[in-house]
Amino acid sequence: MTTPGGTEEAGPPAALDLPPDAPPSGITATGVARRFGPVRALRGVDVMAPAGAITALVGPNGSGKTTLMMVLASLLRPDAGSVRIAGVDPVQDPAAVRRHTGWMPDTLGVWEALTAREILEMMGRLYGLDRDIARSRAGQLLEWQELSTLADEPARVLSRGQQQRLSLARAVVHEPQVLLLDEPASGLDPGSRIRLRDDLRQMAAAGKAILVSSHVLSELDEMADLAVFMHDGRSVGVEDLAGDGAAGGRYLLTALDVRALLPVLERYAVAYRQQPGRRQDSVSVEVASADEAADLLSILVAAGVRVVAFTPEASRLETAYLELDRMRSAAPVAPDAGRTGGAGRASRRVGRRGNR
Amino acid sequence: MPPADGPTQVDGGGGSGAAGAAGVERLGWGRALSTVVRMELQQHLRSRAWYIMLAVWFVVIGLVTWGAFASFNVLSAEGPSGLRAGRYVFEAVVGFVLLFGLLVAPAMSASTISGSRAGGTLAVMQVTLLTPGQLLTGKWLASWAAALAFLATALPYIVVAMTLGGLDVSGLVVFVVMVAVELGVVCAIGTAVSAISARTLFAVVATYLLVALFSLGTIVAFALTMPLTQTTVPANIPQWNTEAEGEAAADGPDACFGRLHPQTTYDTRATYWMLAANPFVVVSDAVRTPAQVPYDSDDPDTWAPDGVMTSISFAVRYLQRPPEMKVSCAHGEPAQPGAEAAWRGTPVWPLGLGLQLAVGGALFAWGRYRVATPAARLPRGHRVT
Repeated sequence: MTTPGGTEEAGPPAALDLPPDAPPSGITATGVARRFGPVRALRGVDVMAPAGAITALVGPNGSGKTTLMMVLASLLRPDAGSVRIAGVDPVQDPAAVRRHTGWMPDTLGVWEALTAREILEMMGRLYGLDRDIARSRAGQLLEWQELSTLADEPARVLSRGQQQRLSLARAVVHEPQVLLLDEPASGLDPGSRIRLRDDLRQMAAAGKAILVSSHVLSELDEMADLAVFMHDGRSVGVEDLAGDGAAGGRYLLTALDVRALLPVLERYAVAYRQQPGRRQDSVSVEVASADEAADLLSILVAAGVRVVAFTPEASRLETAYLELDRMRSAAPVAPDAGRTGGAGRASRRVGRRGNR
Repeated sequence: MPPADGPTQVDGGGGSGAAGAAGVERLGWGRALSTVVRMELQQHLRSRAWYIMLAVWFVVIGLVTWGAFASFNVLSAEGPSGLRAGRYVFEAVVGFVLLFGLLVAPAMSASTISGSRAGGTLAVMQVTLLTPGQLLTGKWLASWAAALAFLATALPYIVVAMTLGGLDVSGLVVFVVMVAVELGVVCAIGTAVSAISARTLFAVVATYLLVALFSLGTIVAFALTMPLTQTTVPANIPQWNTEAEGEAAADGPDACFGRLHPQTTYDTRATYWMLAANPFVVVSDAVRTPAQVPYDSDDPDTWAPDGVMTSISFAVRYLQRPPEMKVSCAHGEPAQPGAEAAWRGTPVWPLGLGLQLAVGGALFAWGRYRVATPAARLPRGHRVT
């Protein structure tokens, strides 16, 4: 396991010295639209994923996350909109984009008869690395992902989690500045998930722009700095998860003796909701901000309530997602304004409303 | 922690100018092809089933060799030594390798790209610096190499055939090279079709149909148009020299007499080219028929059956003859002595190979377009979100 909060050794090993003259890095996409025959997979997506941060791409199944990833990875040509990966347009110069982009697909493509080491070596060769460099790089990456003991076994013997790790190593074999990870944690056990989070955090700290898609919010909540919400082929909101203003919402309050708790809440006119189900010792309260939450807690403690736990009910990502969902259902999205450019504008307007 | 190999700190945000050290913006053809071919061969040939198949193939070719040798001895009515059996046995082996190669090569080549598309490895290669042409060419070369393994397995028997005598080495080399070329053409078609089609099964079937179009379709087309070439040649009655039967058969009638009657025959000079693209015709026609016919008419014991490839070549050249040569006493003239033996015809294999290369090249260009990214369209049936 990589050391969490590791030193400068952390992250995938860098085999090469990169010059410091930094061109515009990260991902910028505006108004991206893409249709497959009658299916409008993307209707106007705006995404900004800056370097040095992990950006979560959140949305329900079928909302266009994978299509967007494929557009960003220079596999699909967008019908409209503009994409810049590290400042380069993938349609104009796909080779330059590929040189700087690592893509981990949601389907695990594994050459079953090749060994993990061979796969990494050959992919390095296909990114133009010299034989010796590709070989040493493969060894470093295998060590980094703790696959060294399995390095010379055919890839088919790897477990799903090990294949995911190999896939991540493969995606960074050429030290890309931009990482596109499509459902990287699906099917991972908790331990692997934690180490994936640590690996990604380290790579972000090393200055890479990382875009991670998932529909499992708790997975992303632990690692993401920013979240872009997608729905029905549009980007519908952006949430900054690094800030500290978003701590309002429902809190779960657990006391040793709930009968002592309820009178206090009633005395201070705090609306509460008894939890359904087994947790009879807990109530759910709503607060407007982190300040209010802290105030409530100190009042309860001062009143002699023996509080055991006081936690946000949902993760911040979940809260943002649900809030967005509520707003969307309250004020339905503007009707399709034309095909491409219109869709982009519409989504931006909705995005601003969802953005806070 | 990974070992420190050079600076381990990743320079945040930088790297665009690192092309010189970290790799190249464009991938050279040599590096691209060698890597793709290695990946393909290691992926597909690292299985025991493959070697079992080659072993079975080795045994089967052995049986074919033995069978050809035995039948030669029966046909030539020679002793068991069969000194000139070499060419006959060799042609049987070559014909069988070509037949089997035409059956195996589509299966091996037509699954390459559609198979890796289904397995999810194609997109992973497409996001590297590989160009579509490099990807397609590498896959083609790999499937060709695998198909050539079947030819290589048959080589020991070709050596056996050489020891049997009656072979000219230059013709042997041309035979082997042309079989290899034909396998390459089939593999190119299969690879291209697998790039065009979304489904492996469809790609394999379509490739088999294209190979059948060349192998059987050419023959069917020729046979169907044959009646249209029917013509008549005025001819009268040949008089055969009854004393030397054997020679008469070779040189034709001595004299002609009687009134000229229209004789029905076929003028296939306008249609023989349809057979040109047949792989068997291409291979057999590319080899010069031996200048020295082993048959010595004074010694009936030296008669030997033609090999299968020589027979095919002879048949195609025969179809190029003018109708007058196919009728005895055309225009009341006996054939010039030796004219028949001197008839060589024109080689058809350049035309056939040209047709095959045109079809293969066109399919290859289409396939290259289909694996080019960023893609304007996805192969049908692909997941879109």
